[in-house]
Amino acid sequence: MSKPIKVLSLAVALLLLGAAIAYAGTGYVSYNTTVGSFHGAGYTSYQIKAYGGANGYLSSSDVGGDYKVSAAMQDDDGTQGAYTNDVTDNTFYTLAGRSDHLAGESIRVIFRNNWKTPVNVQVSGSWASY
Amino acid sequence: MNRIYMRLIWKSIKRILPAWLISSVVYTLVLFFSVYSSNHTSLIMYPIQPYIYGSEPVDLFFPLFTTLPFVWPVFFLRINNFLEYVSLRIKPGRYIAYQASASLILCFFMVFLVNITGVLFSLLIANTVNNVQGPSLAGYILGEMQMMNPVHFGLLWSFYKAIIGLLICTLGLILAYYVKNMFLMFLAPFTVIFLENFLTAITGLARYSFTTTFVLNRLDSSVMLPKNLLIGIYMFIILTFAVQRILARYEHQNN
Repeated sequence: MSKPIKVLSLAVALLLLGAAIAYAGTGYVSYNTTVGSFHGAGYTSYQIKAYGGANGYLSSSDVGGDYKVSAAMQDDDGTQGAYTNDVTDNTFYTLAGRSDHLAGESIRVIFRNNWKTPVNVQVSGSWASY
Repeated sequence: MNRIYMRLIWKSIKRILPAWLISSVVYTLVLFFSVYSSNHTSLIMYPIQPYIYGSEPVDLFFPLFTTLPFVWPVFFLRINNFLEYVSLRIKPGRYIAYQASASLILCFFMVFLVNITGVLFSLLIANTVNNVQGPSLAGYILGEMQMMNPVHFGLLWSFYKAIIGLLICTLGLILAYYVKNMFLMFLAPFTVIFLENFLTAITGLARYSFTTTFVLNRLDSSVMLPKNLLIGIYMFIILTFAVQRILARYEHQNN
C-alpha cells in the first residue's frame, strides 16, 4: 500500500473513531432547546451511554432571562436520574448517573423549569452522557 | 390597650384558631411531602437544599395559605351586617382592626412555624453527595449561612417569609372588607400575585417581582440582590394601598 493511501486510511480511521466516541457519549455534544413554562420540559438529542451508571456532565453556556432550570439524564423509556437543580449561565455541572442506565442505551438530558417560571426559557451549552 | 381590647383580640384569635390549625397541618404536610420528594429526586450537596427545592412548588399556593384561613371573619362581619350591632359598643373601624390584628398574628405564626419546621425536616433527612460539581449557594444572600449554618438561616428566613405572609394577608383582609363576592374575595390575592409574576416575567423584570421575594433563591444569584427584593416589596405595598384607595372610593360613590 502506498504511503498517501496509508495516511488517508489512518486519517479516516481516526475520524471514524472520533465520531464513534462522540456518539458513544464520551464527547461533548452541544444543545440548544426551549424549556416550557410552569415546570415544562425541554430535551437534548440522544447519545449512546458508554459506561453503565456513570455520571454525565453538563456545561451550561446560557439560560434565558435570570431564570434557573433543572437537568437530569433520561433514557428512551423515560427513566431519569436525580435532577441537578439551579442550572445557570457559564457553569459546569455533574449529571447524576443511574444504575439502570446501561451502556449502549440511548440517553438524553431533560430540562425542567421551576413551577413559578411562567415563560418558556431558552437554554444552550454542551453535555456528555459517559 | 386595655383589658377589654385584649379580650376582643383573644376572642378573635379563638374564632380563627380551628382554621389556623387545619391550614397549618395541611401546609406542613404538603411542605414535608415536597421536601421529602425533592430529597429523592434531586442531587443534594447541602442539607438545606431539600427545603429550597421542596418549598418552591408549595410557594405557588403561598398566597392562598396566607389568606384563605384568615380573611373570612372580616368578610362575614361585613356581609352579615354585624358591624352595625357592634357600633353601639365600639367603633366599627376599631373592631375590624382588632379582628385583622388577630388574623395577622396567626398568619405570622403559621408561616414562621411551618417554614422553620420544613428547614429542620430538610436537615434531618438530607441525603448529601460529595465529589460532584453542582450549584453553589455562595453567591446568594446569606449564602455562606445557608451552607454552613442552616438552622440560623432557617430562623431568619422563616421570620422574613412570615413578614411577607403578613403583607399578602393584609391585601386579603382589605379585599375581604370591600369585596362582596366571596369567591372573588378568596381568589383575588392569589390572582393578583399570579398576574404580577406573569407580567414581570414577560417584560423581563422577574428580578423585581414580588414572587421573587418569597421563593428562596428563585433566580440566578447575580440578580438576587437585597435592593431588587426591596423594590418588589415596595411595589406590593404600593399596590395594596392603591387597591384600598380604589375600593374605598368605589364604595363611597355607591353609598
